[in-house]
Amino acid sequence: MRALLTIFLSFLFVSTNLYAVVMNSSNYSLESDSINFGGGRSSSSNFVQESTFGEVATGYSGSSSYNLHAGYQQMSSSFISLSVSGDVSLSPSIPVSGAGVATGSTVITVTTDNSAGYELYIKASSSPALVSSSDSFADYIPVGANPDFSFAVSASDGEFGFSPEGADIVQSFLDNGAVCNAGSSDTADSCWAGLSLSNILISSNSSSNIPTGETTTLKFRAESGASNTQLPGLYVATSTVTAIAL
Amino acid sequence: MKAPSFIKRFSASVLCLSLLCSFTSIYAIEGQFEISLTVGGDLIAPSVPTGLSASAVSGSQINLSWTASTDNVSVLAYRIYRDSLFVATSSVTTYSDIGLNPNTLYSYTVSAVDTSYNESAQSLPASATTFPLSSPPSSGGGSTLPVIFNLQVTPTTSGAIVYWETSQPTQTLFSWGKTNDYELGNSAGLLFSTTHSINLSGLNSATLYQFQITATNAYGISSTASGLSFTTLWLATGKENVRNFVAQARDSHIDLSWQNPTDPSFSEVRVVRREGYFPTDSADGEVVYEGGAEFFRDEDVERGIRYYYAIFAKYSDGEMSSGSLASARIVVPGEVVEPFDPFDSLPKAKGVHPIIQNLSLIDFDFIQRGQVLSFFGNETVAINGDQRLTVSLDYEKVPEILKTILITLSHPDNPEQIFSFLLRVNEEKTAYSATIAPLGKSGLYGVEIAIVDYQNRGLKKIVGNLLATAEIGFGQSDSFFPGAVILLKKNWINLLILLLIAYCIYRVLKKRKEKLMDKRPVVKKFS
Repeated sequence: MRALLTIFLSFLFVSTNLYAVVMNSSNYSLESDSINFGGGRSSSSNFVQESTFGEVATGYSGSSSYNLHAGYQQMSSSFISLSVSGDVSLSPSIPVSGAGVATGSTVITVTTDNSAGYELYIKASSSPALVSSSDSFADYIPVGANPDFSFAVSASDGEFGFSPEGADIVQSFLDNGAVCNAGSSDTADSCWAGLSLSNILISSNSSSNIPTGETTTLKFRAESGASNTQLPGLYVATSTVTAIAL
Repeated sequence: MKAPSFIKRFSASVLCLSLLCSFTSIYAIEGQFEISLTVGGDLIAPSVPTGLSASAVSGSQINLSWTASTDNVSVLAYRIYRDSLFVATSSVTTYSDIGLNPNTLYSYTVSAVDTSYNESAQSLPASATTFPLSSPPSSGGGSTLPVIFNLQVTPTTSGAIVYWETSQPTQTLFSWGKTNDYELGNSAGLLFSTTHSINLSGLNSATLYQFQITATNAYGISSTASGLSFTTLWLATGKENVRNFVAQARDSHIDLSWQNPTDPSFSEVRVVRREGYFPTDSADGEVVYEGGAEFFRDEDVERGIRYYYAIFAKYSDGEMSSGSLASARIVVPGEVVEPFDPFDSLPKAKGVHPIIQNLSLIDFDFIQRGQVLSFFGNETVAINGDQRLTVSLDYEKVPEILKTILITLSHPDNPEQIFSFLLRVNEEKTAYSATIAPLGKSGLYGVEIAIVDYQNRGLKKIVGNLLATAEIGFGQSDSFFPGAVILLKKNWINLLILLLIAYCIYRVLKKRKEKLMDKRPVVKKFS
């Protein structure tokens, strides 16, 4: 019984840290709150005592792959959250043989109060990214060092790529109406690249964006050339987006 | 011994759960999602088109029609083959194959394609022979007169869509004009068809147009429908403003007076007041009066402060006029009163937005009775002073920056008496406009249009004239005659002097001629 009570109280103590944003609405966000536990002020006619309930294993620790701020509201100075609007179903379906194009999109929202801003990356869980049990689409390879302004595949290929759009997309995905990594336009359905196992930087901003956050729309496109043959089946790509507070 | 054990276990739990659940400590956060695609998901081709028929309508054209295919997803289009060769794609179930040789047999098939580019088998073939060049066919109406019927006209403010049908496939010639000479143009339809339409554009609003249709079948047999007409729609005009809105400073208050519109749907006015500059809409400032009166005394004023007023006429449908403007200031004792320039208080900047800078008076439409009035030169518009006037500027002619557009009219007899109106954007965001009540008096009114460019802190002024004819009865002012009458009336003294001078010259010349006659030598005739 006491053990159960211990776990319950322990959970209460740490549960306040479960969410990066504990409350929000369209015009505010509350970064953290707490339920005071233990400690406090005790007094009698002849003494006053201020006591607190001690914490253990608090403070910052980290490595190349993680940062840990453990302890009571250690992160009260900064937060970051990320949401994905949903999975993507490319449509229409692509024929086994003959030309076909399928497209779809999802929206990533990053919210941070970090005054230095954030960066948003994308990577695939497999290479090539879009695979079925028996076949795959090649990851899109731009002609040059920059993303291709227009998505183009040869007649004998089937390829899969993505294009980010939004206010914070990085320079390499901006264009001048004809070429990517040039100009400052975000022309719709332009600047295509392929997913890879490595993180690709797609959006960044150097300031806080609370409470509304900033969205990045990720457009995906799979295309099969006129003489290409794709084996029938369900093709799936698992993608990971990572937002980092700078 | 139990207490330390409890604290120990509790501390351990805190540590574990803190490590698991301290998400507020995250500097990097991840999200994962899947992208999926079906290949070969729709392998089912549409059904084969049926009922294909081919019908020759001339020596160079065969019309095809067929019954629509069905598909498990959606039919995208139909592919048409002539003599086994692909010739075209059609999104509908008809196709006209043109440019064919006369008296030639052609065979057609059609297939359907779905959104996954699955193509059905080709339909059963259908054949037709194009007409020979000389003799009409025994059937199909070749030798009979085509009949034009089911004529439908849909006019707009600047054009019309005219639709009609013919009893047999015909080519058509559509001619139109303001008179029955159909002088404005014609359009020939080269395709033989039984349904026809034309979209006329660039016409004047509120204007009667006449047109004629000639339908000719493949053998040159024609029928004509003439004496047809339509009237383009009137240009929209806004709600009429009040007239003669004046603000007069008295010793301790400011009197506002105006005349309400006579429109039966007028309900009341709203007077809005601001300091600094004119209100830009009915909510931009303090509402000092609402009601149906034609006078308001503003007593809540301070000496030495200029107050800017805008009055908006409200109508029963909830709409408001664009607003009339006036301002007044009670002078400080001992102050020398100087003429007021409503733009003096605006910031002086070197320029405005280049698009605004390039505007001239002819960019504005002056509209009466639904028609755009003509300019005399680039600065003068002749108007009917007995009718209300709408001044309008296309929304796209000015940049989408914060701006105020004002038009000020100065009275022909007293140029210091001015009336200003706001040009406000309409709900459809197609134009900025103001509708001014009938001026009611003939004369040459000065016009000054001011565009305040708040973004560039600049001001663009455009000047011109309105030549108003009132109570003369010459009707619509889109003619030179009323203008000439006004000019004659304004300059009658000069004309009288000219006539007197001409008469004097005539008299002098006549006297000199008489003297010369008197001095001629007398010629005596000898018998």
